Amino acid sequence: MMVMPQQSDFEREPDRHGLFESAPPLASVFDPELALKRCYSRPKMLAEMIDSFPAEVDSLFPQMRAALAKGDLPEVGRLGHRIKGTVACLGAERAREAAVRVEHFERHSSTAAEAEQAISALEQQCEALKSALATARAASRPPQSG
Amino acid sequence: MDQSRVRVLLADDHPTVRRGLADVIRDEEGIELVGQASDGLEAVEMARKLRPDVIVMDVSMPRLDGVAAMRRIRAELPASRVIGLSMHEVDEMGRVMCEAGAVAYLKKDEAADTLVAMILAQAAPHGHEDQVTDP
Repeated sequence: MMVMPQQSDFEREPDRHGLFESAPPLASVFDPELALKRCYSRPKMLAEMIDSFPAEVDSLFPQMRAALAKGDLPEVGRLGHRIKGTVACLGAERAREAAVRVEHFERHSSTAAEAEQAISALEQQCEALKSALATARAASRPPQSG
Repeated sequence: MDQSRVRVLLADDHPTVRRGLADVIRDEEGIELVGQASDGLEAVEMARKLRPDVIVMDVSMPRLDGVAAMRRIRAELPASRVIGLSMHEVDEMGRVMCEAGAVAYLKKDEAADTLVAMILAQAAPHGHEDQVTDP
């Protein structure tokens, strides 16, 4: 059966959210083009990912550290996998690579010190991503009138 | 209900990803999205109730992971076909999913067009009251 490609939201209304305008200075942390591709060319999905990211990571890191305190490395890894899914959708390759290192603990044993180091590195990348997303959001807002 | 459309159940614990995938699936007129599950146990329960033609199943989910959920579904509903979906890096996961009964395995970040084509290609519509084991 031939599958005809449908016109995507992006094709109908490219860059409705204005995310590409701030691409050059942020691309190393947040690549909007890659993000849109990974959100299936759905700007609405990308916007939702961006909006929910700060609350998601603020919730997941305490859970991750609580799991580490209990010595539950598979849970640390599962939560790392969850963050990886989000940052991959956001086209954040540095954060994704850091999340892969945390995800590793889902299936492989390690020391608590190594896990803490990997979690801290991921947290650092997520904080950088939060800042980049906030900047991108601010740049995409129309100027206030009056 | 249009019997010619492929009936799909989607299981993914990430709400935004699930909504995005649901939009992708809904946009294809040959597919009917009959349900969405947020973990493996819910996927098994919804599969029993809805008897979908195809289940699009994330691997890493709470309560029951996608591989275990798929094994249960394949044992109870052998005519339902499962497409595994994950962000996992390793090819090994594809082998595990296929050994558990998946007809295909896709990486989430590459999946949109391929997923739609795969759903349409893999699932010949069939009667939902009379699930028959594939030969």
